[in-house]
Formats: sequence, structure tokens, C-alpha cells
Amino acid sequence: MKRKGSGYFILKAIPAVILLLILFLVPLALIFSYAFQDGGKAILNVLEDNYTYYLLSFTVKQAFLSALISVIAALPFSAFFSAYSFPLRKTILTIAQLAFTIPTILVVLGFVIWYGNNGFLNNALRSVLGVSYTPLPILYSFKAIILAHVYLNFPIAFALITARWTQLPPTEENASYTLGQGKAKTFLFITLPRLSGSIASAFILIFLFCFSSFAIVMVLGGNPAYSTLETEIYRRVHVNADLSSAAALSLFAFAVNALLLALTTPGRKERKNERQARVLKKAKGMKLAQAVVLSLIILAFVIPPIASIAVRAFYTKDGIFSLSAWEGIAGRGFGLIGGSVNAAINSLAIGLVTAFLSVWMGSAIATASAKRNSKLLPFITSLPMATGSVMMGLGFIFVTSFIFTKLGIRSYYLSFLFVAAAHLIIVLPFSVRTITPGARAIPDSLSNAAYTLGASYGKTYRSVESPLLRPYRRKAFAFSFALSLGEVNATLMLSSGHVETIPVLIYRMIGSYDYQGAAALGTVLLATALAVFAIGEARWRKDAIL
Amino acid sequence: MKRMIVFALVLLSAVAVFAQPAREENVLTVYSYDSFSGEWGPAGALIPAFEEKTGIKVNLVGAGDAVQMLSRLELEGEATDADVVLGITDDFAYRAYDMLSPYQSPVLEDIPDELEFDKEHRLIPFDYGAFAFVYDSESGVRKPESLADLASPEYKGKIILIDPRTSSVGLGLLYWTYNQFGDEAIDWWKEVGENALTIADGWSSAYGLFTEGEAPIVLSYTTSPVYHVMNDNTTRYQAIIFPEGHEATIEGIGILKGTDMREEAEAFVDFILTDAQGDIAIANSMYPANSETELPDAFAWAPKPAIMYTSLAIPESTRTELVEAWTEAMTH
Amino acid sequence: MPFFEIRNIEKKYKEFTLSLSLSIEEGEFLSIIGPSGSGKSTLLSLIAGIESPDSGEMLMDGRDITKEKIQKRGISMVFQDFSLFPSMNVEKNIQFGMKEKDKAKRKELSDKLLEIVGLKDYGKRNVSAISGGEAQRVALARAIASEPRMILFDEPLSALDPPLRKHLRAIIRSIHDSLGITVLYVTHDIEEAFAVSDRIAVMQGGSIVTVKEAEDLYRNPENLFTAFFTGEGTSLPAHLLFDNTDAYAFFRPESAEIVEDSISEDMYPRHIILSDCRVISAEYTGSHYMLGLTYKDYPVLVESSRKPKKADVSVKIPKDSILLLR
Repeated sequence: MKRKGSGYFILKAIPAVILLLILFLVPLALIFSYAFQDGGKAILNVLEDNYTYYLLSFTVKQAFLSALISVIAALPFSAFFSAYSFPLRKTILTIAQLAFTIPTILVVLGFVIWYGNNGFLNNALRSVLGVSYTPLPILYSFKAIILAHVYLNFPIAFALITARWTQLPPTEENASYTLGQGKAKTFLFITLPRLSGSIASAFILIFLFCFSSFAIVMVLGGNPAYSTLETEIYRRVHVNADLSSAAALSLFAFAVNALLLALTTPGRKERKNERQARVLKKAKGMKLAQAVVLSLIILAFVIPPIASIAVRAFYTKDGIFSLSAWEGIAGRGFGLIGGSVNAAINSLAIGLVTAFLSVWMGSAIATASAKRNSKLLPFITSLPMATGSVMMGLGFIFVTSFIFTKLGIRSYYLSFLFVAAAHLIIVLPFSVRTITPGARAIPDSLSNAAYTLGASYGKTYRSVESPLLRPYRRKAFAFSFALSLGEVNATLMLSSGHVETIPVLIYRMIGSYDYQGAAALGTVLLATALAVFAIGEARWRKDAIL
Repeated sequence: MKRMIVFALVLLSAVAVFAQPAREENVLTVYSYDSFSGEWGPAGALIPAFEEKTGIKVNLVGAGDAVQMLSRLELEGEATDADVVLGITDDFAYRAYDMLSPYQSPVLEDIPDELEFDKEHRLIPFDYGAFAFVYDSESGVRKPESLADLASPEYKGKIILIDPRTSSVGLGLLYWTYNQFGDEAIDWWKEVGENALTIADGWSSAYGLFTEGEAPIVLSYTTSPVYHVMNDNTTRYQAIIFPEGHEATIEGIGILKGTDMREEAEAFVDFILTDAQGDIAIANSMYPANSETELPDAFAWAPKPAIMYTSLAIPESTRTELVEAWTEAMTH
Repeated sequence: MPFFEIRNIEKKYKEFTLSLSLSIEEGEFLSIIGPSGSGKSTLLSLIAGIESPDSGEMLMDGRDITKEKIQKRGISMVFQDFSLFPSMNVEKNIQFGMKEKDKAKRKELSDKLLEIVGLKDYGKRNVSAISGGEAQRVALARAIASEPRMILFDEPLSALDPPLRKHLRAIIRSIHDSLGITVLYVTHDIEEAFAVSDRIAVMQGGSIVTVKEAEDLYRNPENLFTAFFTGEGTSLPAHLLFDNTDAYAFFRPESAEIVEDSISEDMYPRHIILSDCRVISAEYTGSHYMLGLTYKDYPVLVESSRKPKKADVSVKIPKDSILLLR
């Protein structure tokens, strides 16, 4: 059923949708048109090739397992974090999102430094156990792929599910307990269905993320048999330079993902008016001990790989303290201190603009789709996730090439704008998916009450509905900012090498053998993210009502 | 309020964009791969030096990696802005020839004949490197003596390879093995693949694993030790020269057919082949094409192989078949 | 001309159609009762402008407002779940719909309204920190503050406990009386409707069965549905008592009287006598007993001031209090 004012909200979402169409769908359609050259021969080839299905089955298998395990792992933590308040609760929620900010190459490096056969963990175990073999051979196997994917994506599941759970008053659960049902049954039949929206949302986001993953799969999997569709698309674009077959395979992958998205995009949901959000109980005694244990588990999982990067920035491989990497950043060659400060400013500026716009557009689209009960809007906004980064990159090249060459416009600012726009397209699905459950949870009667009091749709949105979205927007902002901060592929492709962000410099340093310098810059990136999150939390806490 | 600020920001930047002069005339446009054109790349110092020396303004465009740059040139066709393209590698040279016009540079006589792309000099080599296995001499592992030696069981889990499907370095190794073993190249991969700790997606992660001590042998370049000598002051990491020969990779520069700044383009090419050689070699960790170039002492740790193959000799159809055969053999 | 008039309005849903006409006089307190699913809330949604009808029209002061925007109708609404805005404190909630622009005057007005609903000094409180009864009083104050021409109440008291309900309905009625505002009040609690309304409309299956004053509705229901909906009673097939009809004879428990001695119809020509009734239950209600009897296997309800000593009794009902209904 359409809700009052759905027309107004659709109108409000139109600029966001148009931007999306121009920036994303048009170039994508152009690229896919390559797949149809020669009467679609490339597509036929893809469909007839057994290799395609081999890749698809592995891709789906690893993505499915990664998403499933991430969600299951998040549930017990979300259960506790949405029921109890304790010191540092918010801080831990924030830290859990840090993994998001690091570019893949550094995640791989962090994993190797921590979990590697010669990493901190194995070396420590070796000296404790007094053995010479590798006590925990985790990496270079299928489970390493899953571990890394869960590492990267656990925060999505944790944040989305916790946000929703915190808003569910436990009345139905209590009813179930009074009917003599145990915790397990109550959770399975009462709580899980109530959480299904956010669980599905988290699952699909993670699935799509892992669907197009390939660096992690290849390096940490350790076996060429572990390769995803994206690997092959990458090969066709970057090694073979064969656009039409790459487009054909992309189209195939896109179709699979789009189908999946269409099936799982949340549609009509009956809403229950819940006057009061759940009140967090203060954790005391045993519960406080439990809080400490759970927090430590999260920290023990999240911190070591990223901390490894920071440690690596200060210590040489032989364990000698050295500031050479920092001196390297500061003093190398062509006025690089200017370079890295400039890069930090660029990263921050692009990250903030991207995050603000993505939250704004995400709110507009999420509210419009909730008001209209639309499946189409969230579906369209999620499409960038279904596309895969290789094809997206190519699409961006098309657009910039057109603007640069055909229109003859070229400027630093334009490159800057392009990068921000590309980041926006990449983070928007996260933003929409994060805010939508919040928008759907706003009771109709609340909005109607405002309308009958003579408040316009705009005023009602600003003063009644929007404040209810605040916790969701906060999540969306954090995700968007973190993703933008760590983004490197689109930045490189779009800026013609002119817009240097921290991740771009990290790639450049690695390209010239300076892994310690890269780790130092990675540390700068993490510190930047942490600072912005901390400022954000402080500011939000001040004016938070919910 | 927040929204207004963002709007203002976007609006401001949009104004700034359109306030720019649409297109500057008399500027030489050079396409290069990103890592060359970035602020941190060699261009940061070279372009100002060139502009000062010749008075010619340069607009350096980073066009992605080498393959993307080529794709972009193909896409833009004759409408392209580019006057010069820098960074086409030997394996894709055949696709670039049609877009380029020959240039008989006076510097050519200082460039060894074995680096030559084509007789007409549409592409001119400006630097080159050779793929090689680099090993950690302090790891206790025996220094391998040949490609075939790498299949020895003692190297089980001690080698990091790179996937030819996603990396030009990995592809280089595939061509290398083909040039050396012919059709038995795939058998080599199968055997050595058994010894590999992992087959990484690209050089960056492979070399990162190597310096973190995950495995003592990695596929890289003969020039890799130079960095460690210059920056870490260590000779621990050494490139291994195999007597049977190495695969080379050559980077070329060329002048686009449609250029309306022929003279300036030639000046730029000559500059790259002379004054810029040292900086480019150091920044790219490659050997300079111009044999007259003086290099830092550290380059003594970048031994030049006596025998070098290039992929210029391998026909295009064979290359595709090679990768397909590789994929078939390694993923099933 | 009535103040507010609904003419042949129709709204179709998958399994339900609302179709009715209704008029309300200015300053009237009209209640709408009916079982759940009869369309009460839908009717309010249509009047408020939350939903729009498929056909028909609505007039206020003779002006067609069917297509009027929800914000412009000047009809405010009080919801069952209070629907206070969690982003604002009590005072800001009340000031939300005010037409007055001056800050001091707004404050003055909201303070006054809070006093009227008995919540003096609650202005700065957080709306999630007040009780249900307090929340509904804030909602009431908020509805009044927007100076509506009519207020709609959608089961405003059903989430509250009974003593509070009685107290609040008195507040609502007294505010209506002092402001003279038109009120449309939906409830499923018949006692509540009787207590506060000028007139009561009964809804069933999407249409209005009848509109009457409370007493008239109770005494002269149009049909069995209304009769049973507005209070307790007994219905017997009329042919058991009279011989002419296939309708039902209906009477209220307080009209009947039990007789423990044997009596004959001849002694009471103006009554109907049900002899050979059996007492099944006797519930004491505080002021009287409510007796459950059977007469020829039909249940019969009779009010009595004392508990019968015998199990077999007769019931005597004045003929003029028996209604023939269908």
C-alpha cells in the first residue's frame, strides 16, 4: 500500500535517482552493449563454456559461506549489544567497523603479518611450544578465504543486526517465555523472524561483496582452482584487453546478482507501531563480565590484523624499532611530506563529501521506497554492488574519456568530482540498505498525526521522521566514510592519477617496494578514520535523542 | 543545514570546473600509465625539467594501467587528444603500431638493437627489465639453478608464484616458460605449482608475502634487490640469474599519428631517451634503454641476464591458447 | 445544513468495502461503535485525509473537502498509540501544530493546555518517559493546539486501564463542552460511548446501521445486531411467544422478572410468561444478580435483586418491553 505523501517523497528522491542513472546505469549499459557485438557471439560463448559454470559455482559457494558465517557469528554479539549497556559499548561498535577502511592489499598484508606461516601468531606459538613447524597453518587454504571475508564483513552484519535489534522491545519474546518456551525456541521462532529484514540485508550485502572479491581469494586461497568470476573478468579486461568477452561475462555475473537482488530486496512488510524502543539494561555482575568477554573476543578478532599493520610501520621485519618508514613518508624525493598531507586532505575531503551525500541520497531513497513500498528503488540503488568493480571501473573510464575527449573539459576539480561521484555510487547501496529498515520502522500513525496537525510533508520529515532515522544514518555515514576512505580502484581510474588519496599512495609505495612505508600510510588511514568516528560519536551523543 | 553546506560544496566545485578554460592550445598531451604520471611517479620531477628546458607545456594524463591506456586509445581512435603515448609494453605492442607514426630519433644509436620493437621505430624502447626469481639468502634455502630446478621437492611451500590471468608479471613467467620449454611449459607450471605456497593475484601481494617471510622465493624482477640495497642497506634479497635465459619486458614510447605537434612530440621522446633515463630507471626499477646512462652503484645488485627472450616473437593466437591451457591445467 | 456531511462515500479493499453516508452537527460529540473490522478506523482515515475514497464526497460547512489535502482540512486526530513525536519533548509536541508564530505566546498556550489536561509542569519532559495516560493527555492537548474544526479520536483510551479510562473520558467530554468543538469518537467500548456521546452511530460490515441518541439506541435497537451490541439481552424465536411471525423476540434482562411461585398468564394479561425455566447460573454484579436460565433449551438472561431459592422458575416480561427484531 502506498502511504500518505509517497508522491512527495518520490519527488525528493528523484535527484538522487537521476544522479545514479547518469553516473552508473548509462555507462553500464554502454559497456554491456559490447557484449552484443557480433550478434551476441560473446554471450553465447560465455553461456556455452563449462569454465563459466565452474567459476560460478566456486564464486557462489565461497560468497554464500562467507555471508552465512558472518551473519551467524554476528548474532550472539548483536543479541548482547542490543540488550545491555556497558562502558565502551559504542567504542567497540565503532572499532568493529575499522576493518572497512583499509584497502584490500593492506588487509592481505595485515592477515599475512598476523596469521601468516611466519606471522606474529605462528611465531609466538612456535616459541611457546618450542617447535619448528607452522603450528597454525591457516593461510593459503579455503578456510583462509572465508576467514578474511568474515573479517571484512562481520562489521556489516554486526552493525545492521544490532541497529535493528536495539529497536525491538522484547515483549513478544517475554510472551513466549511465559508460554513456557525456552530461549532457543523463542529465538528461532520469535526473534529471528523479527530480525529477518536486517539479517537478509546484511546477508545480501556480504554475499555481493564476496561475489566480486578476487585478490583475497587468490592470494589467501593459495590455489588457482579457487578463482571467482571476477578473476576471469579482470583477465579479459586487463590482460587480454578483450572488451566484448569481458562485457559478456560481466553481464552474466550481473544477471545472476541482479536476480538474487530482485529476490531478496525487501518489499511490503507489515509494520507494528512500537512506541518505545528497547531500553538497554545496564550490565552488572555476571552480565558485565559477559560484556567484557564478548568485547574482548571482538577486539581479539578485529584488532590484530590492523594492529599488525601499525606495528609493521614502526618495526622492521627483524623486530628492530625504526622510524625509517615515517621518515620515508616525510622526506622522500619530491617534497613528499606535502604529498602525504595533501593525500590525507584529499582522502578526508572526498570521504566526507561522499559520506554526507550518500547519507542524504540514501535517506531520500530509503524513505521514498518505504513510503511507496517500492522494491524498485532499493533494487536500482543496489545494482552497483551487483556489477563488480572491474566493470564499474571500465564504465567510469568510458564516462571520463567521453567528458575529457569529446567535451574537451579537463581539470583537477573535475577529476576530484568524478572520484567523489564514483565513491558515491559505490557506497550508496550500503547507505540505502542501512537506512531502509529504519524508514520502514516509522509508524504510519506518527506521520499521519503530524499531517493532521497541519504539518507539511517536508516539515514532518524534518522534525518527526528524520530524527527517528538518526541511528541508521549514523551507521550509514560510518560505512560510507570508511568505504570511501579505503577505496582505490575507482580513484585511480577516474583521476588520471591526479587525485592522490592515501590508498593511492599506499599502492604507489608498494609498487616501489616500500611495504613499511605503505604500512605507515595505512596507519595514518586508520588514525584518520578513528578520529572522524570519535568526533562523530561525540557530536552525535550530544544531540542524540534516541 | 548540513544539507545546505553539502550543496554549497558541490555547487562551488561545479563552478570551479566550468570556470576552467575549456582546452589549452599548444600543450603537448602525453598518455602514460598512472604510476608514471602520479605526483610520486617519475613525472613529478621530469615534466617540470622538460618544460623548463624546452619551453613546451606538457599535459600528462594517467590513463590507468598499461592495458587500460591502450584500451582508451583504441576507444578514442582518431579523436584522441594524445600526442605521445608512454608505457606500451612488448606484449601489446602489436596493437599499438597502427596508431603510431615512425620516428627515427637520433638517440636510437645508443639503444641496443635487441630491444628494438619494430624496424620502423613506431615504438621506441625507453626502459626494460627482466623477470627473475628473487630469493632470501638468509633463509637457508638452496639457491635454485634453473627454472626446472624449482620443481625440486625441497622447495615445497617455498615459492610464491603470480597468476598469469590477473598479472602482467605472471603472464611474463608464462611466456618465459613457453620460450624455454615450448609446449611443455604447462607441465612446468603443474610441477612447480605443487611447490608454490600460493599463486598470488599480482606482484604487489606476492612480493609483500615474500618480504614478510612467508616464503623465501618469489617471482619478481632482476632489479628488485636494488631497492633493498638503496633503502634497507641489505643485500639479503638477491635476484637469481638462470643461464638458460630470462623473459624481458620492454616499455616503449611512441608518437600518435594524428598529432598536430610533431616537433614538440619528438623533443619529448628525445628527452625521455636521454635526460630522463636515470630517474625513470630508478623510479620504475628498470634498466634504462639508453646504454650511455649512468646508474647508482646499487644497480650492481641488479644483474643483467646474458640471454633474454621477449614475447614479441610469440604469435597472438598462441598467447591466448597458452593462457587457456594454463587455466585448464591449473584450475581443474 | 449539517456541519460535516459524508455523502455516499465508498472505499473498496480486497475483502472489505466501506460504503456509507453520515452527517455531524456543529459542536456535536458523535461516537462510532462497532465490532473490530467494521470499518471504524477506515472511516476516520477517510475523514482525516489519510486515505481517499473511491467515490462519494465529504462536505464541511457545505464545502467539498474530498480532495482537500490532509494538512489543510483542519481536522486533527488522536491515535490509539498516542503517536507522540519521540524527537520532541512534551511542550514541543504540543506546539508542533500551532498556528501562532510568536514564541512566547506559543509557550503560554502550551502551558495553558497542559494545565487543562492536568499535566502542569510536564512541558520539558521526554515523551518516552511518561505514562500511557499522560501520553494520551499530551496527544489531546496537541490536537487542540492546532485549532482544528473537528477532532477525531481513534480508540484513544483502549490502551489504558479502566479507572484511567473513566477519568480521561470525562476530561475529553469536558474539554468538548467548554470549547464547543465537534468530536468524532471511535470506540469499541459501548459504556464509554454511552457516557460521553450526544449521538452514537453503529457500524457493521462497512456501513452505518443506525445513528441515535444513547438511550434511544439502547431501548429501541433496529435489529438484533444493534441490540446485542449495545447491551445484554435475550432473543427467542417469536413463534414461541406469539404465533404470527418468524422474527425474534428481544428483551433486556432488566425488563424481565423471575417468579418462583406458579403463576398463570391470565393473572398478567400485559405480560408474557415463560414457565418452566431452569436456573443455570447466578452471577452477583454488586447491585443485583444476573441470572442465566434456559427456556425450552434457549438461553434467557434475567436481572434479579435476589438469588432464587428454587431451580425451576417462571419469567414474566411486560409485553411492551419486548421488541420484534430480525
